[in-house]
Amino acid sequence: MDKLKVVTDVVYSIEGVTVTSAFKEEGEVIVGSAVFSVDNVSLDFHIRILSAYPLQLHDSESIRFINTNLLQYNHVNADGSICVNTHHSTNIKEKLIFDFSSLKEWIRRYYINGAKDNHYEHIIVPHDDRAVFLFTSIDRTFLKGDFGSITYSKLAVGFKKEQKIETLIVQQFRIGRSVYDCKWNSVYKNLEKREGLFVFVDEAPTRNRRFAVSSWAELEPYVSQDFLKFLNLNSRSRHTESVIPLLIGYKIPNDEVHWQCVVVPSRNFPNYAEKIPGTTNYVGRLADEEMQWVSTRNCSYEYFFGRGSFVQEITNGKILVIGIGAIGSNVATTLTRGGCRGIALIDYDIKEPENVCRAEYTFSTGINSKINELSDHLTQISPFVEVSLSDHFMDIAKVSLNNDTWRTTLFQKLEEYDIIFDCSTDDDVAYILDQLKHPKRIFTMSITNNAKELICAVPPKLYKWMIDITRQLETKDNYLYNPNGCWNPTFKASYNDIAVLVQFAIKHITTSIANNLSPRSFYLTTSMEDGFNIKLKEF
Amino acid sequence: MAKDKNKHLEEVLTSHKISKEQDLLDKHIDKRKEISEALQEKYGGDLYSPFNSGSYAKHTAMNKKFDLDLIAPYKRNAFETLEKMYNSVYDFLYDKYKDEATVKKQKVSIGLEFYADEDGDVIKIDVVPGRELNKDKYPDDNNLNLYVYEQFGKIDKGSDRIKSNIKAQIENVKGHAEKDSVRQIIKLLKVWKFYNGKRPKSFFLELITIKAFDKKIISGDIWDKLKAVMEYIRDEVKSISLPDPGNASNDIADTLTDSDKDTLSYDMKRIIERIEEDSDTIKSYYPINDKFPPEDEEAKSNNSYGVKTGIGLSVPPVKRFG
Repeated sequence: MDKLKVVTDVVYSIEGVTVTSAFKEEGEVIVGSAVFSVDNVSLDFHIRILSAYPLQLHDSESIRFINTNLLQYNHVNADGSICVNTHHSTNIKEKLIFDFSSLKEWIRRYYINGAKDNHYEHIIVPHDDRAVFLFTSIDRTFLKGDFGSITYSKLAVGFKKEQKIETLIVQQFRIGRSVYDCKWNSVYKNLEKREGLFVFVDEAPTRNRRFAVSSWAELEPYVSQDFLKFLNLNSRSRHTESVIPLLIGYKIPNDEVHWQCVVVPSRNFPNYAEKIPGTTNYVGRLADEEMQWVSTRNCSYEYFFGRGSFVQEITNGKILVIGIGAIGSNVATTLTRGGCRGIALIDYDIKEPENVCRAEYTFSTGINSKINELSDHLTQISPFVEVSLSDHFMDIAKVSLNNDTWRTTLFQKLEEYDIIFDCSTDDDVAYILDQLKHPKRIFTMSITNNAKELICAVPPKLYKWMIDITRQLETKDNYLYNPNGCWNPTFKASYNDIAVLVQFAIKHITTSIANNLSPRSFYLTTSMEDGFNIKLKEF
Repeated sequence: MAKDKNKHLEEVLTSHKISKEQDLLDKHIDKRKEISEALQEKYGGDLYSPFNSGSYAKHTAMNKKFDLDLIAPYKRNAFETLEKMYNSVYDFLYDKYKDEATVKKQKVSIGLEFYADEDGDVIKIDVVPGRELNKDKYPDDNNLNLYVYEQFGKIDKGSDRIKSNIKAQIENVKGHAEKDSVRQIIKLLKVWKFYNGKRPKSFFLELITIKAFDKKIISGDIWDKLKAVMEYIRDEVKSISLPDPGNASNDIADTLTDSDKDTLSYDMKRIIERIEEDSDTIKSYYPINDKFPPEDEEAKSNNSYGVKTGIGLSVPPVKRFG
């Protein structure tokens, strides 16, 4: 059936909707106008139905109800279209009824009753997509009128649709002689820095309550004469960059600060001085020129890991991972993605191309030290993890075990950690760890051939239990992968075989920690009875 | 190979017999006698005759953790406070033995751990100072007050005192109708505690085992009995009270925190599950003392992990991977 006819028929039949401009096709789009009458209130909307209708486009409905007089109300986009989100339907008649009903509900709730949402939504900023600034919370309570300089660094260049987009990270805020750092890890803190400016205006600079001001003149009431003098001073400095970012900060709910960014052309600052009539004094002004906003993101730890992380006892813990092969590299990566902030890696081994298929390494970096490569990988994932490295720690440990002084030092060093994951499969390491009084949380993890079982031993008696259980699980199937020319056969198992067990084990361990349960040794056993399954055998 | 649980447990008990370590036992007895005499000489008429307590006196000792207890019963007026009594004994033992032993304050006792002798043997003696509850009544009622040096489960440090009749505690095991079975199970639980680094005091394991025998019908072979006691602990430990036979108002259940009890209950649950599922697992919970392996060849091959017999020209394949 003809889509235009269906739309016309359905809209005419909806109660409280009067068509004021008949629906017609403009290319692929059906357009028309209607008045919506709700509780004695009538509002006029221009309606655009896109060709995808009734399917959605990029998570938004493909129908637009537009009235540019409603910009100050909640859930109205910059073009005056109302945000409606309704039930999914592939039936055009049903979907039209959903969407028109939804618009009536919006009129009732937000236009007539002036409802305010508990959930804060950021102001709408007409930014372009050439750059985005990432910032974190910092240890300073900003006051209205604060201003100063910032430093920032280039992180990466990517693409957003067809447009090249530069990602930049804010590094520091400087007020007078005080410097406040964003909380990136040292890798990011050490990036080359450029200079910019900031001003804290306390309240978001908006028009219609929800839309960022678009001209510099509109910003003027939000800033002080001192700031304009500061801007004037800066406009006279030499700048190497063609534009200078100005971060504009304001308060948002829950005692948070949000920053928007506008770029100032370095040869055309928007400020000027105007003589006060009848005096010899001047006043700082901002020109009625369009502002070039670029986008920003709050990339604080709480937002970065807001969608999911381990409990604080794990994320704030000092963690040591010994041995970063297939298991250890997976453990370290998972901890990093789970929000852990301090991870130490120990491994003497070198990554070879054949390690890549089942560990967290890449081909592109060629032959490389495992600790260096994994450290890079972890800091690439999280800007909040500090990674420390040692290649020969365990060798030194073994040598020093027979010397009382060195032994004490060694034990003190290991006991500094809150959690140790020993994935070295080195019985000597397990033996050493078994003698530590701290930490209480040591997990010696290994798997049997073909990833049939994963064994995880914990103190006390970690070493003995591990040896016992390994012998108990021993099978006659000792077929190892031993290709031509290889002097060191290894076990057979794919990334998936290993990762599924490691993830299960980490889930079990972290759940125990979250529930404050004493760690227990366990093993996971796999079987293909009634499909693949994993069973936990805790001791 | 599936393990015969009963045979294994018998071997566990045999290999942990105290008599297997007769020389070491003799050294302990001699040392304890020496300490007893030294205390008597120091405190003279303030001290009644020190006597032996602990697992050896109760016949529940096992040869892997070897420490003997010596109770020093003082007269009511010997010290103003229990704390002064405790510190006086500590100071005396420290001065006397500091050059040949580590002397440390423990929960209700003073622990002496002598440095290894020429045979590499380490002697450990715990001295428990106690003060008679009522003046001159000790010879009749055997009641003593103990000083609590450090937090002990739910029992607070310092302020609290435990009244106890240690002789009654010894009789509690010795006089039990099923004392042989009770002793076997206590010994096995102590073996488990030792090899698995677990917390409950031996006295706690003793009392709860006796209570299990009193409350449940515990019969069958040794595994059946051990399992029944473990089930009892699993089900009852969180709510049970374990009156000290030396003083019914001391609840020995309070020597564990609620969290310790949860852990113990869970331990028992897991042990039973794992052993029922795979009888070989019994070896990891209740191991044979490999210093005294069983004589017969089958048992030997089951328990020797290649350490003594497997040394040959070829190295066995690696079994753990990462």
